[in-house]
Amino acid sequence: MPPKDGREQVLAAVKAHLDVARAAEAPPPHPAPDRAAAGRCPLPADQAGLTDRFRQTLEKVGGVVTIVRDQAEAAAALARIISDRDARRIAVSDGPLATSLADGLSDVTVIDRQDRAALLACDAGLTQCQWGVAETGSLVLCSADEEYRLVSLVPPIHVALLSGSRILGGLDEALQRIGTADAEDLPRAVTFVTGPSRTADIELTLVVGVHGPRELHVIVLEEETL
Amino acid sequence: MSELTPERFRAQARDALRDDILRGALRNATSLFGERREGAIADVPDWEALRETARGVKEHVLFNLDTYLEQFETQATAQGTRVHWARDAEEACRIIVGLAEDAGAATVVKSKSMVSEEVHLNRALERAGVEPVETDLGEWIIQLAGETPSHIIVPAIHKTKRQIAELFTDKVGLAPTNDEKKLTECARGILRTCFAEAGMGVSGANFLIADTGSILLLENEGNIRMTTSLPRVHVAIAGMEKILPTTTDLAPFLRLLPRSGTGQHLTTYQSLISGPRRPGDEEGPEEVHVVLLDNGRSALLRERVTRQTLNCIRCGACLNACPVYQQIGGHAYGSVYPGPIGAIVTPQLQGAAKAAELPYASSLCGACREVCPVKIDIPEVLLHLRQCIAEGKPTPAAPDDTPHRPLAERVAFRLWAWWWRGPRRYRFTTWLGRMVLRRRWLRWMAPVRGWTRTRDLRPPARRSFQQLWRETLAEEGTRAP
Repeated sequence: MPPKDGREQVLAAVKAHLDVARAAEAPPPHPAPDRAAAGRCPLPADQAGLTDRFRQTLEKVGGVVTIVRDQAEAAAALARIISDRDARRIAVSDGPLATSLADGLSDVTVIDRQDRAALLACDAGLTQCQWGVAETGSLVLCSADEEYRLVSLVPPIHVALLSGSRILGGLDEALQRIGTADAEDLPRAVTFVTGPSRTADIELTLVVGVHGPRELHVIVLEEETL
Repeated sequence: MSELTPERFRAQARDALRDDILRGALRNATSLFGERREGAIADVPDWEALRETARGVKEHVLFNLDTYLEQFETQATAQGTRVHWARDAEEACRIIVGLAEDAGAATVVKSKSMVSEEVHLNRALERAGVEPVETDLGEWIIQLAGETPSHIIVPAIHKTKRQIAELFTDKVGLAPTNDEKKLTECARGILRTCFAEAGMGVSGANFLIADTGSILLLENEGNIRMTTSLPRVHVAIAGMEKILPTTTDLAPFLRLLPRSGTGQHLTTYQSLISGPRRPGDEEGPEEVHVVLLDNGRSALLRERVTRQTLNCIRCGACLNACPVYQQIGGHAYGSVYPGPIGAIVTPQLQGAAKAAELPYASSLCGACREVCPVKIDIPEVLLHLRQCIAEGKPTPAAPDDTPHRPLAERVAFRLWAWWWRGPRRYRFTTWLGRMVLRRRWLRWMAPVRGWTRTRDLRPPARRSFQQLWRETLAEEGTRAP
């Protein structure tokens, strides 16, 4: 049973005050159906152009983008990122490509995601992601597709795998793909990630890596459909 | 430091003006954010059309808020989110303290939420024996210092690196340092333990989505993601005006808010949360609660002029643009919401007598209206509130807090109005004024000093406009009417 609270009174107050307004004023027009595109910057029409724009915008905020052709090249790029940073213990989401590429890494231990202590102490996290957004250089991760929430947040380095064909133009296009699901089918969590974690709370000086990762690497697989 | 209140605005503003460190910090912050904002809006093809779109969406939602609130409740409930309704601050605190007790939480991690400040949630949790830990770096710093935020976006803007380093040495035993990276790392380490151990996480909400029952949160640090992912229970508290109709409506607001707030194209993280974990999920909280807060907001819906106050998306652009805020900072306002937006929110929610000084803390220059991403006509609301105060009318959300003008002032203005209604009396007074007000010594006299202490007293022209008018007409051979 829901706790007793002010539901009825709050709704009654809202209605009472709005009734006064609605008697005195004409209703404001219903917002235009194309409103989600308002303010979107011009974007390239082709996939290669979108990938290029995605890279530029993400790199501006400190993300590192590596564009590869296929899984084999992605495995090599991942191995380089992991070994350059001397990462030994990595956390991996349950995305199939992330799992298979992690299995191919030598000299690393894949930790148990469910082990909080191990997760807090690991060196890097590997996830896939469901969409890229060229307008803002953002990754879109959905909980319906993989267990990404902590793996992409807690370790100091986050490596994400993105299919080139999944790079969309504007924020509104990405939101449209999420929002069309029925309420029951909506992912519990959708996270847009645009660069490493940052703060400027001390004298407005930028510090990277406050609560989340201080490095974000994205490997774009141009010829793969994830 | 004595408690900051809107009643003590004048004294608090004077204190702030004497604080050179504060004023230096404010100058840096407000000018930097102003410049970054300019840079970030330059790449939007039609910024004005974008603002207009956002305002249109907000106006539509607010005019139909009852329908949208019920839709949000239905959809959120379908997701497994529990929706609570709070009439006022006390009820909001009672609900959240109750949830903390049900969760058996000794510690609650909090991400930055203006509404939680508005209801004084930390105080209520502490009274119930629950320790609230702020996890936004700036908020954590001021919590350690026992202070309140001075800026919506950068809460610790009033503190220097040196002061923060000394605070960390004093409170958490960090070796003295002058490196913001070390300070940040220290906070990260301590707060990780808190995230791992907390029984409940409390966040705000930037937007509530009616047709999916989701909440959206923006941030740069990652502490909101921690707060909403790690503890077993997540509670989001939100002003009930935060609703947008659909998920895609977020797009224009995500283009506006970071650009206006910090001058970023987008903040690092946006989290769209739709309910607790499902069977088979490995992660995510087991319970998600949303507390919808009224606390005076419903009364603002009544009239168009006050309703626009609820368009606000808490970006802080009006603070940075305001010549008054730039000089005195956030604490002087003595209210949770500072700057121009605070000067209209506080009297309307807390009372016109209590916050009677705030609508006057503005030169009505209109800079706030220019930068507001949702086009709130703040000067219009300021004037409306000044009128309420002058006429002794309380604001609808606080009907018992009647502003009161001193009897002497009311009598003086009545007399003056009567006196100047007669043309002879008017001409006599303006003649007298022209004679007397030209005397330089006058500016040091007691009643005039109130004006001349902070402004110049311009001498009146030698001849009045009426005189010049008559003379010009005489030269042209026309008789004055």
